This record gives sequence, C-alpha cells and structure tokens, in this order.
Amino acid sequence: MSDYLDSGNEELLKDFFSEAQSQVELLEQNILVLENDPANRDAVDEIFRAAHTLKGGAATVEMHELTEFTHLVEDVLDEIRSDKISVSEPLVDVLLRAIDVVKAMLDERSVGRLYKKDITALKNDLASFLGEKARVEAGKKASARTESGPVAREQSETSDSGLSEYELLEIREAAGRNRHVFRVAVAFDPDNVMKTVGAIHVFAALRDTGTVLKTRPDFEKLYEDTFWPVVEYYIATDRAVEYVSRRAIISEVSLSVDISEISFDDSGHAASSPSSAPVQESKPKTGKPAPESSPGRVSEAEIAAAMAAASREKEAKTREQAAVHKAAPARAPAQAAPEAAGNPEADAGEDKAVESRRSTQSGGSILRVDSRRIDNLLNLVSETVITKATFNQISTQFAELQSTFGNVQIEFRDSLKDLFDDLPDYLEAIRNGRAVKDVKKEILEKYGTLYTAFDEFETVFKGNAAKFRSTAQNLGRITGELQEGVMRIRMVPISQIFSRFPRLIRDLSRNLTKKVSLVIEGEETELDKSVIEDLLDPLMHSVRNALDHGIESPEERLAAGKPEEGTVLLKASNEGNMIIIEIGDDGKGIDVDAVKKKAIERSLIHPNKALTELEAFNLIFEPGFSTADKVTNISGRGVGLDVVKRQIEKLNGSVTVSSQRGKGTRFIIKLPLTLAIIQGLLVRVGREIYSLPITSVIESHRIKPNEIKLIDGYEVFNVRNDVVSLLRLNRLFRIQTEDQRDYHFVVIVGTNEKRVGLIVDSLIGEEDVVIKPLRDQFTNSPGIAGASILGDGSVCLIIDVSQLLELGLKREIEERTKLEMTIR
Amino acid sequence: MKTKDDFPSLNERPAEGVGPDGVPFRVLIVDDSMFIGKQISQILSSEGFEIAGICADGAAGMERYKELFPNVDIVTMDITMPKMDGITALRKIIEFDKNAKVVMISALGKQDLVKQALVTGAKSYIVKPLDRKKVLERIVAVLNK
Repeated sequence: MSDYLDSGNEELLKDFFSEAQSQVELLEQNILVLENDPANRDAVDEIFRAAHTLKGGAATVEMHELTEFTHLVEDVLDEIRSDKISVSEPLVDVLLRAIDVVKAMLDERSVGRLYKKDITALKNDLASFLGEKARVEAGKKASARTESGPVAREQSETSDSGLSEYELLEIREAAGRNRHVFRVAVAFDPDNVMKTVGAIHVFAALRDTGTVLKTRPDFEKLYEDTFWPVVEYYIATDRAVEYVSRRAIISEVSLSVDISEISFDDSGHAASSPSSAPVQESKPKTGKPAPESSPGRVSEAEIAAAMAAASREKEAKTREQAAVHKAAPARAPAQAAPEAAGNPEADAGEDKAVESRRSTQSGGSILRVDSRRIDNLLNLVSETVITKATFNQISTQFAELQSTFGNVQIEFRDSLKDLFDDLPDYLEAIRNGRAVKDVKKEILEKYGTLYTAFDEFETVFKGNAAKFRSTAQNLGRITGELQEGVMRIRMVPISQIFSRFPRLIRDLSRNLTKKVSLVIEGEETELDKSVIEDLLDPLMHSVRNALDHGIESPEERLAAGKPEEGTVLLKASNEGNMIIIEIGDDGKGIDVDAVKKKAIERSLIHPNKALTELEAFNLIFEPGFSTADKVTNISGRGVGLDVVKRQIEKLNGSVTVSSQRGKGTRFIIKLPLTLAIIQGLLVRVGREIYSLPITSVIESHRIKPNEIKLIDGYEVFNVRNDVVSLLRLNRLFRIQTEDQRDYHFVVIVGTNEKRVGLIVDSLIGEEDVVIKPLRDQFTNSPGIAGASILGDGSVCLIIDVSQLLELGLKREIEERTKLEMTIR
Repeated sequence: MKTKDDFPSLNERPAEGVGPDGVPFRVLIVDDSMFIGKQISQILSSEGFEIAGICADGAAGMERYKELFPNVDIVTMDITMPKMDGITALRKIIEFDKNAKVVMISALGKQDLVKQALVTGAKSYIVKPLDRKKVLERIVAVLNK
C-alpha cells in the first residue's frame, strides 16, 4: 500500500507528471529515429529505458491502467532490444499509437479522470508482435495475477527426504572437518511479487555466512523463472544456528526456515541431530503450523499448512484493512485501490480524491532550471547585500561629515564675526596713524585660518562622494545582472516545442500521401517560458498549413521539376531583442489570383480593389478565409491562420508571410524575447523622445548637412567607404522640426546586411526601458514596438527597428518601381 | 489524511535511520528517475537517514561511491539506467569495496536481473512501486546484518 497519493505528496505527483511527459517525448523522438535507422542500438536502449521508467513511476502513483499498458509496450520493446523482432513500418505505427494512448492516459489522469476508451485492439496489435514464447509468458504472467501462480512441478521432489549417500559424502568432503553442515529448508512466500527471486535472495544471504555446498533443487533450476515453495540449502559454516537462521529470514521473502545439523558418523552416514533444530519464523503470529515436530526434514503437509495459514491470515488482514479504509473514506481510495482494481465504487472514490487534490494544486507549472543559474542569482543577491552594507557605511560617513561641517562652519562664522567686529577698531587705529601694513599683517595673522577652514572637509567629502559613485555603479551592474539572471531562469530552449514536430510531420505526410522532410534549425534558441507555452498552437497551425496547402503531391512536384520530397523548414533565431521563427516550405506558394477571387467571393474586399501582393498575402490571415476547395481534416476549415495571427499578436509578436509562386512560402513569426525590459538609446526628435533598442544600434555619427549626398533622389552618407541610406525620423513620423541646422545626428541601426541611418535632433543617452505594450487604436502603429515611461514620468515610444527597415525598404521599392514605370 | 504511522514518534522509538551510536546512516541513491530518487530520499530522510548523494546513472553513482567512501553506509541502485546500468555499477562498487551494502531497486518483471544482481553481491532488492514500509524494512534489515 502506498502513501504517495495522500495530499501531502502533491509535489511528488507533480514530479511524476513532468517526468512522464519528458519520457513520452523521449519515446516518441527515439521511435522516429528508429524508423529512419532501424539499427540504432542507442535509440532502442533509450526507448526501452524511457518506457521502463514510465512504468515504474506509474506503478508508484498507482495508475494501474498506465502500468499495465506500458508493461505491454515494454515487452514489445524488449523483443526489439533482444533482436527477436525487427523494426518495421507497422511496428512503428503500432508503437506510436501506443504512445498516443499513453499520452491520453496521462492527460486524463492529470485532470483527475481515468482513461476509459477501449484499447483492446491496440493491445492485441502489440501482442501480435511478441514472439511465440513471449506471448506464452505473457499469458502465464496474466494467469499468475489471477491464480496463486505457477508452481513448479518438481515440487514433490523437494519433499524427498534425504540425499543419496554419495551426495552426502561429497558434502562432507567439501565441508571439511571443522565446520558444521546445516540443512536449511526455507519456505517461500508465494504472495511475493517477485517470488521467483526469493531462492536466490536467500542463497546470496547464506553465501555470506559460509559455503553453500548444495541446493535442492539445483542452483540452475533456482535461477530459472519458476517458483519453488521450499528450497533446501546445504551449507558448511562455523557460525551458530541462530545466526544462520537470522540471515535466511527475509521478511516477505521467506515464510519459515527450518535448520537441522547434519552430523556424520565415522562410517560416513548422515544423521540429523534433533536437538539442533530450532524453528525460526518470520511471522510469529503465523506460528502454529511451523514444523516443530520435524527436526530432520520439512514435511510437505506442514509447509502447505504453514503457507495456507499465512495466506489466510494475510487475506484476513487485507480485508480488515479494507474495512478500516472504508471507515476512513478520505484515505480509503488511495489505499484500497490495489485490491479493488476495476471496482467502480473505488474508482469513483479515487477520481474524487484526485479531483479534490487537483483543485488544490492547479495553477503554477513546473519549470526546470539549471542549478547554475540559481547559484548565480544567489551570488548576485549576496553581492547586493554587500553593496547595501557599503551604502549604509557611506550614509553614516556622510552624517559624520555633516556634523563636522557644522562645527567648522560655526568656527568660521565666529571668526568672521570677530573680524567684522574688529574692523572698526582697525579703521580707527589707521585713522589714528597706525601703519596700514602693520594692520594687514595683524589681520592676516589673526584670521588667516579662514582660508583653509574648509580644506579638510573638502578632502573627506570628495573621498566619500567618489566612494558613493563607485558603489552606485556597482549596484547598477549587479541589478543589471540580477535582472538578466531572473530573466534567464524563465528562458527555456525552443527545442521543447520543436521536438514535437517530427512526429507531426510524419503523421501528416502519411495522411496526405505526400513526402516531406523536416529541417529544424536553431532549436537551442532560448525563449521565455510563458511565450513558449503559447507558441505551440500557432506553430502547429502554420506547419499543418504548409503541409496541406504548400507542399504538392509527389506527382505534381516531379512534374514541376522539383525533387519528389518536399522540405519544411522550422528555424528559430535571435535578432536583437526579438526572436524570429521561420516556417518555410518549398511548395507551390500562394496563388495571389486565387486569393483575390476567394476574397471577393467571401466579400472580404471590393471587386475593384487593386491588391498589392503583400496585401493579398495578408488576406489569408483574415477570419473565415480558406482557399482550399475542400475541407480536409488537417486544415482548410477556415479557422487557422487568423487564429495564428491572433495568438502571435497576443504575445506582442507579428506574423508576416512572403511567397513566391512555385517556389514556396515563408511564414515569419517575430516575438519579443521577453515581455519586460530592454536597453534603449534615447533620442530626441522635435519635442518627442524615442527609444531605440540598443541591440539594434550599430553606431552613431554627427555629420554636417553637406555630407548628406543624394543618390537616385535618396539621401545617403558615407561611413568608412560604405554608403548608408538615411531616414529622417521627423519626416517619417511627421514631426515639425527645424531642418536647417549646423549638425545632424545620425544613428545607424539594423543588422549588418540591412541597415539605415536615422536622422535625429539629438542623442540623450542609454537607459533601461520597461516595455509597455500599446493598446487599442495604437496597436497597429507601424514602426513602433511599444511605449515606456522614463524616470521623469514622461512617455517615450520604442521604435521597432526591423519594421522601420521594412517600412523604408518598402517605400524604396515602391518608388523605384514607380520610377521605372515612368522611364518606360 | 495521515495516520499515526506517518508520524513516527521519536520519543517512542529511535528513528530507523540513526545507528546505535546516534549517527545517521548515510545513503547514496543512484536512480535515473528523478521522481523515484526523490521518493526514496523523502522516505529515508523522514526516518533520519542522511542522504549522501543522488546520482542519475551508474557511472556517476560508482564515482560518487568512491568519492564518499568510507563515509557511506548503503547504496540504493536502480537497475535500468543510462550510461552504466545498475548491475555493472554494482559489480564495480563491489570490486572497490567488497563489503559495500547495495540494495537494488527493480521494476516488476525483472526477476532475472535481480537474481543476477543478488549473485553479484547486492544485499537485497526493493520492487517498484516503492512502498514506504518495505523500503525502510529492507534497508534497515541490510544495515543491521
């Protein structure tokens, strides 16, 4: 009976679910590996281990349906591992189906319900892969559960009294003169879950006490997978009987032990000495039937009686326990479950218990964090504590300084007052003919200290101020690291969700009879956990969409001169403070005309509207839009891409799509790395302050107006033999400023391949800005990523550099095409 | 709901995990399942045992044993583990210290492996699903021998 389901162990249950989840993922991944590379031993081992761990965990938390089922899966895996069956497509299919069932079982359990669907067909499929022998064994195991278990047929032999004379002689020879030879007859508990191990267990225990000369039945037979109710061991030892018997009694393994000494008379005949046969019982209460009267050997009937008594008592005990548990309902479900497997009442009780537990533990998911990250945080916290102490010290020093200053000032004032008081006297003295020089000298002597009164104070003050400054800097550094550290705790690699896609692609491509390979890049990219959780659905939708609508059938692909197998790319990368997720396919691309037709059909746009390609692409994100003529079970239900867009926007991200007819489609999802703080370069344009994310700022320049050159009507300027085009923020955002000035400040932003110089009025400085999303009517302001509140309370807008680049580029392309049209 | 059994009164009897000299027994847990490892450590530490370490595979377990030796009294060893399985690790530990007390943790249905382990020198075994009473019983039994 386990006490792991009580309310105190929610933590353990949580752990179980999180571990089970990862085991299932491991299973799935490796089965897919195996499908492509059936000879991969590592994958087989990994799969086996994962299934095994899952089974163990499930048994502990008493999820019996899960235990039983994973056990069956494990049997099949064992066959694979021992090369009895080879990996084939149907096998992989069945295994994957089995994993789906395991997942479903876990899901049901995690909301406190039992998995109720019929899985007999799947079980049969699994069993059909088991070899003949294994199936028989499985059958045997099944029967073992219901009946008392298979009992070795040779059982009767064990009751056979003695050994042959020759055997005795052999034993005597082996034992040597100085040691006693004991016959230890051990009766084993048939109720032990691993009853066939018992004989070996006792053997190992006895081996430590002396030399085991012989066993009956033979050791080889003990080692086989059969259960022997009674085993006799012949051991030679110099230990006392009590010691030997103590070693032989292992609770729940051996029921009773009967030891008798075998003495040899000179003729070599053995005689059991009746006096030296104390009876040891592992369960004193079971007492009676133990073979008190059989010093020489164990009689079959007595052992049978002993065992029967033991099992009777056990039964009574369990019944009693069950009754107790019913009286205490809160505890009952968890404990009574094993006995009442299949009993709907108990199940219902258990469900209820699980549910109530569930309600208390809901909220708060588990996040596994590298312990080094936590250690790092702890380290930083200790540094802040030290810094705090330094600040305290500085503050007392300042307080002291203030009182010193007060004293010095009083002295200064006093002597100044004396000086003023003395002045008329001196004037009088001069008028009376005293030499000015004389007076000067006297004043200097008397009040010369006025000059240097504050010198000492100044030195100390300067020192303190310097200390304060450096400590403040220190604090800045630590809080910066602390902030980053806390952020990093929440960061998890995107592989967590990418890892689900191989399976998805496999199943989908099979359903659609298309050939598709998946390329995953940048799976180590880290992303905030909250973002990752909400990212799965939109990604799934997009990938489904790519497979269903993007990739063509193998025939079409061959006809179009493409390789038969389509490719889907899933790529994550960091770009500045954004993370970019790209879902690309090399399929047929978006048919702009079809999109237009459909949009007009669904009256999403006016028939006369002239659509740019980009606008057409964006139409596919409209709710209720679907170009697929028929609804497949994969996509094309008209819900999908609009959901993708909505969900990504909820995460402060954006989705864009680009496509080339016949070449493929590319969805680009941009997400903020975290939803909180960035470093920004504050710049001023007119009276507005903007913040540029420092990660996208490359450099800044101060240029004279005549350095701005015109190429094709575009403003550019030279940076170290490189031409950078300029964008005037005041014009872009339509802010009135003076264009004529002596200098312009240019901030070069972007990435290395794509950059642009922004002309601003002045640079203010670097600061951490807390991003606040723009709401309501501002959500779609192009070029603006969010807003922030500055230290003085004023609002500054945060510029979205990548959008700005696009904006500039788009305008450029538009104007260029316009220009080309006019030239023709 | 917890019964009295879950809160053993230390006044009535000494905690199981404390030796006759009042020094707690030190346990090294080797298990690739964090869940099982945690469970064992919960059970044992509640009885006053000192958890000397938790390792996730046989190789690490063996290294850890050598590191800790002789400041370790008993090892619980899972059988199926990555890198080095429990039986190999057991053999290596026994080679290093022939008096090592190792208790195997096995799932149901692995009789052959358990037998192999016992013959190799494991002192006892515990079958998953783990049961608090059994775990303590087996471990205490091994320690008292």
